[in-house]
Amino acid sequence: MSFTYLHVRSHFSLLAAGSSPRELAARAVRLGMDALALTDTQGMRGSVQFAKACQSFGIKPIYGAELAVEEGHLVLLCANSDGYGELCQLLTRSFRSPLSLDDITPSGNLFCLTGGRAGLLARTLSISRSTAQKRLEQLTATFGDRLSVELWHHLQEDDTALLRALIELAASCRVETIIGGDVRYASPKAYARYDLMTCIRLGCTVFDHASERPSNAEAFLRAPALLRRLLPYPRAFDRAADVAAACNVELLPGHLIPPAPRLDDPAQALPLLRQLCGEGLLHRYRNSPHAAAARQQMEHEISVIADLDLCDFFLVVHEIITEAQRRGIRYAGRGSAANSIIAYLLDITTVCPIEQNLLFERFLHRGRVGTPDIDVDFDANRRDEIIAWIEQRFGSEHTAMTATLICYGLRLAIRDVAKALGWPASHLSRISKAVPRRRSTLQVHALKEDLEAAIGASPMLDTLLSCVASLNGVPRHLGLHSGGMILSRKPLWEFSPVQHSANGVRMIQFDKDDVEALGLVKFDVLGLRMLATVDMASRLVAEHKRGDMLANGDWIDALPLDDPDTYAAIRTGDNLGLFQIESMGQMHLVASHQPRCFQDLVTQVAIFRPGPLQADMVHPFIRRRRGEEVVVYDHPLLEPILKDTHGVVLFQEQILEIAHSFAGMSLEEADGFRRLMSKYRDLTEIAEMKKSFISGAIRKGVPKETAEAVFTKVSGYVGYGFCRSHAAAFARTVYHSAYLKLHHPAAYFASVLEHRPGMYDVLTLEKTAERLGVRTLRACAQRSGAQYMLEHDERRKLCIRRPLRVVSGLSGDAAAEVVWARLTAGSFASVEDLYSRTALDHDHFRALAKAGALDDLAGDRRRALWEIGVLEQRHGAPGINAPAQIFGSTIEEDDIPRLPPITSEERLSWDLMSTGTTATHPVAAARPTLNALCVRSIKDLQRHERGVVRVAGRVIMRQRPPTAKGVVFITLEDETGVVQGIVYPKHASRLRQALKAPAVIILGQIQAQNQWRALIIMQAWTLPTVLGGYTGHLQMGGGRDNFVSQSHETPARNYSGSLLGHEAARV
Amino acid sequence: MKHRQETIQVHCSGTRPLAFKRAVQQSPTYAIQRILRAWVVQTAWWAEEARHTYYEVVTAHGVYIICCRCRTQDLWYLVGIRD
Repeated sequence: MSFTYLHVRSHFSLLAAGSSPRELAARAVRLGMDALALTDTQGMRGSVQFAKACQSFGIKPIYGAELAVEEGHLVLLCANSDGYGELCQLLTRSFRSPLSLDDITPSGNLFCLTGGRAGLLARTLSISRSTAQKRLEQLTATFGDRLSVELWHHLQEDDTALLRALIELAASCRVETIIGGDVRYASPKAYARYDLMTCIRLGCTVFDHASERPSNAEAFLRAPALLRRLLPYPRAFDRAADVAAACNVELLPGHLIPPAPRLDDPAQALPLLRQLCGEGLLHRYRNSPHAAAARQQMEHEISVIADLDLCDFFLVVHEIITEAQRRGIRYAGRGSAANSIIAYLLDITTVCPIEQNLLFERFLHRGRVGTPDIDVDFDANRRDEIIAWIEQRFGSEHTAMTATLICYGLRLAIRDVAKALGWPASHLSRISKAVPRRRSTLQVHALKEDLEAAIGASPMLDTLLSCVASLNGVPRHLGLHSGGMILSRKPLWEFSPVQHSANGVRMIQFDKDDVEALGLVKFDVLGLRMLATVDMASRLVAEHKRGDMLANGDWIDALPLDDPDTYAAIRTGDNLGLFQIESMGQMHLVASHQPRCFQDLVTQVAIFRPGPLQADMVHPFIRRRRGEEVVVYDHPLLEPILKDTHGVVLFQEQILEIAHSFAGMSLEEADGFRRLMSKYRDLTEIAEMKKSFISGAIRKGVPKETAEAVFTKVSGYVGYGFCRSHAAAFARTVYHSAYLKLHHPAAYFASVLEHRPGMYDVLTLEKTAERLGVRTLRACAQRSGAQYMLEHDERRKLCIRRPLRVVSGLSGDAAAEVVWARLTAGSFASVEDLYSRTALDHDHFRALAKAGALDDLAGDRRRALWEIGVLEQRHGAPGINAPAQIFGSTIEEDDIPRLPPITSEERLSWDLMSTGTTATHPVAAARPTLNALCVRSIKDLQRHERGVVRVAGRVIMRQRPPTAKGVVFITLEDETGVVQGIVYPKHASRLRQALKAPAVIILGQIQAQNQWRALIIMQAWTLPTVLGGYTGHLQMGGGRDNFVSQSHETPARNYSGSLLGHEAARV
Repeated sequence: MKHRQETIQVHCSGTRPLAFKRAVQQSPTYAIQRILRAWVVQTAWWAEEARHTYYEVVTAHGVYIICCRCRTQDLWYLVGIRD
C-alpha cells in the first residue's frame, strides 16, 4: 500500500516551514508517492497553490491544517468538502479566541491527528501522562475512529523515548497510531532556510538558543523505505494510507460562483439586467449618433454576460454604485470594465466605449476563465462607508476583503536576514538604504559592493547574500488587498478561514489569483484620494461662489471636457498637484506631447508606463505626432488599429487587436496573447506564441519577414501598460484636477493639502499654490478648523488656512478639542483663556506656540511660550480650572520680561519642525548670498534654452527608475519653482554624497523642450544651513531641531572658492 | 554521566559503528553490542559546521556516547560515559 505524508507544512505557514507547495509536491512525486497532504499552521493559505501543484504533478492533494488549541495543536484533515468548510470555520473561530477541546464539536468529516512534537498530545505527555490520557479520551469522544495518534521521527535526542510513550498511550486508550511525518521542508537542503525563517519569526539571531529552532535537518520528506526503517510500525503506515484514500476534496470548481443580487427569483436576473441597460441606453444615447451602434453592442454584451452567468455580478455592482450615488459618494469605474457598454449603461463607468472605440473583448469574452475585473475608485475618505454598507447588505458571512501575500523582495529580505545574522540595529537601516526597492532577492549578489560600502567588509556578507537569495518568492506575511472585496453567494467559510488584518479588517486567506481559482467573485472597492480632492474642491467652489454650506460638487461632473485654457495650462508642463501627470517624467512628456484635447490626455496617461517605455514606443510616438517622422505601418492591416497612435502600440487593446486582426487569432486567443505579452514571460510559451502569431499572419497574406518584425515590436511591450479604457477613465479625473487648479486654485490646493493625493510634500504644494496667487496661512488657535479651509485675507483674496492638526506633536484629538472649545464657547480671549478651556497637555501648548498658532493671542511665539510656562507654574494642569473666565486674566505685564524678538532663522527652523513648511521658502532667505555666487533662480531658466548654469534648491525627490539604465533624477525646488536635474551614470558615484544632502547647489547644462527645463548635472555641492538648522529631509520626516546659529552667508564662505573657481557659468 | 571530548578510532559497517578504540596506549577495542539510540544535531549552518550524529552504545565496558562529526571526512569522538 502506498504511503502518504499527512502532516506537512509549506512556506504558507509563514516563516514556519522551508519549502513551497510546489517543491513539496515535486519531491513527493520523485519519491514515488501518489498523494500528499498540506497542513499549514492556522490556515489554508497554500491550498490553491498546492492544488495547482498537485494537479500539474498528477498526485492527489489532501487538505488540512494545524489547528491551534490551548495546549498545542491538532492536525485536521478534510475528508470531504463539508470537512473543508468545517475546518475553515474552526480556524475562523480560533482567530477570534483560542480554542479549547470543548469548542470542537463532533464531526464525521474531519480526520484528526494528534500532531508532532509541538502537538497537543506530545506537549501534554511531556508534562503529565494522566493529563495526556485525559486529552486523548476527550479527542476520542469528538472524533471517534477518525482520531489517530501521530508518530514521527526527526532523529532528535528524545524522539525514540517520546515515540515509545505515545505508542503506549495510544494502546492504552485503544487509539490507532498513524505516521504523519511532521514535515517542515521538502529536502535537507531547505533546512538552513527553515532555521533562518524560524529565527526571523522568533525575532532572535542564529546565534541565540530557542527551543522552537530545529536542532537538525531531518524534518524533510524522507523516502518511505527509509522512514519505515526509522519507524518500524507497519500498521501506522497502513493507517496513513487508509486516511489518505478517504480524503477527497475538489477545491477548484472550474466555474464562477457569482454573488446574489436582491432578487426573489434568480431567473429574473437577465430580464432585470436587460431592463436596466435599456433605461441606461435611453438616458445615455437619447440624441446620440451612436445610439444604433450602442444598442447593437449592448445586445452582444448581454448575450456574452448571460452565457458566462455573470448577470448577477453586474446587478450586484450596479446595486453598490446606486448606493454610492444615493449617498453622494464620488466614484469612478476604471480598468478594463470601461470597455463595456453595459458598465457604462449601468453607471459603473463614465466613458462611452463607442465614442472611445473601446474593445469589449479586452474586458470579457466567452473564453475567459475567472471573474472579470470591475474596479471602482471611491472617494478615499468615504470608501469605508461603502464597504460597511456592502457588508451589511450581503451579510458578513458572505463578504470579506481579499488578502495579499507579502513575499520577500530584496530590501525586506536583506533587512530580516541581516537582523537574524546578528547585524546590530544601527546597521540595519544603512543596509536597507544601500539597496534599491522592488527588486528580486536573486539580484542581491550584484549589490555586494554597495553593501560592503554601507556596512564594511564582513565574513558573514557572503552568507547574507546567499540567505537573501534563498528567500526569493517566499511569503512573509498576509497583507490586506488594497480594495478587493469578495462577494459570495455561499458563506465564505466554505472557501476560506476569515481572519482580521493588522488594522482589524476581515479578510480571507487567499490573494486575488487564488480567489479567481476558487471561483469567487471579487469587486475592487478602491480608495482614490484624488477623487476625495476633486469632491472637496468642487464643494468648496460651490460653497464660496453660492455661499451655500450644503452645496454639493456635482457641477464638475457636468463640465464638458473641452476647456481650451485647461489644455493650455496642462501644456505648459507646470502640472504639479495634478492627477497622474505631476511627476517630472510626465511633465517632461507633456511638454513634448502638447495635449490639446481629451483624446490627447488619454494618450498622455497611457504613454508613461513600463510597457510603452520598455518597448521604446514613446519617442517615435512623440516625433510622429509632431510631424518630425513619417508615420509608417509595417502592413496595411495595422493601419486601422494603430492609426490614432501614429503607428505605435500604446494600449493593451492594440496588442489584442493586432493578434486578432493581423495574426488571425480568435478574440479569446488574442486576449491570452495580450496577457502573455504584458507579463513576465516564460520563454517556451513565448516561442510557441510566436510560432502561432507568425503562422496566423502568414495565413492572412502577410510576408513572413513582416510578421516577424511586427511580433518583435509587440513582444517589446513587456510589463505594465494601460488599457485604453482605464486611461480614458483616469484622463477624466486628470482633466477635472487641471480645470480646478486653473480656475479655482485656492479651493483646489486646500483640497490637495487636505487629502495629499500626490507625491509632493506640504512645502512644495504650498509654494506651488503661492505661485498661483494663493497664500497659505499659519495654523491658528483662533481661526483654524478641523481641515484645510478657505478664508479671505484683508484684500478679499482667498487664502488657505492650515488646520491645527498639522502642528507636529499635536494629536488629532487635541486639535479637535481646541476647535470644539472655540466653536461651542466662542473665541479665546488670551493664551490663559485657551489654557483654562482645553485639557491639552503642556507639550501640546508648546507645540502650538512654536508653530505660531498662538500668535493672535500672545503677539509672538516666544511670548506665548513664556505665558504657557507661567500658567503651568501658576495653575498646574490645564483645562481644569477656569481662572481666566472667572477672575479675568491672571497674567500681568510683570510676569513677562522683555523677550528678544524671534529671528528669521529661528522662525524658519521652528516652522519646519512644527509643520514641515514655512511662510518664506528656505532658499528665498539665502537668495542674496546665492545671487552673489551667480546662482540663478529656477524660474530664470525659462529665459534660456541652452547654456550652463548654477541653481540651488531643496532636493524634493530623488529617483532611480529601473527603466532608466542607471540615470538618477533629482528634483530641486527653490522659491520660484521646481526643476529636474539629470545625473548620468558616469557622474553618479562622484556626485553621490553631495546629492544626498537635503539642499544643494548644482551646475548643469540646460535642456529645453517648449516651457520644460531640465539640467544635466555636471557638479554639485551641498548647501547646509539653508533649512535654518533643521537637519534631515523634510519630505522624509525625522528632521530635528538642531539649530545652529549660522547666517545664510555660510554657503558663500564655504563654497565661494570651489564655485567661483569652477568654469564660469555660460548663459 | 561523565563528559569527555576524546578522539577515537571507529570501525564501521556503512555508517553503523561496530567497534571503537580510544586514543590511549593499549586501549582495548570496545565492541559495540547494541545501539541504544541515535540522534543528529546540526549546528552553525552559516559557518558550514558539521552534522553530528550521536550514538548511545552498549559495550562490554559499559555504556558510551560517541559522536561522528561529518564534514569533509568523518571524525569520531567519545563524548560521554554513563555511570
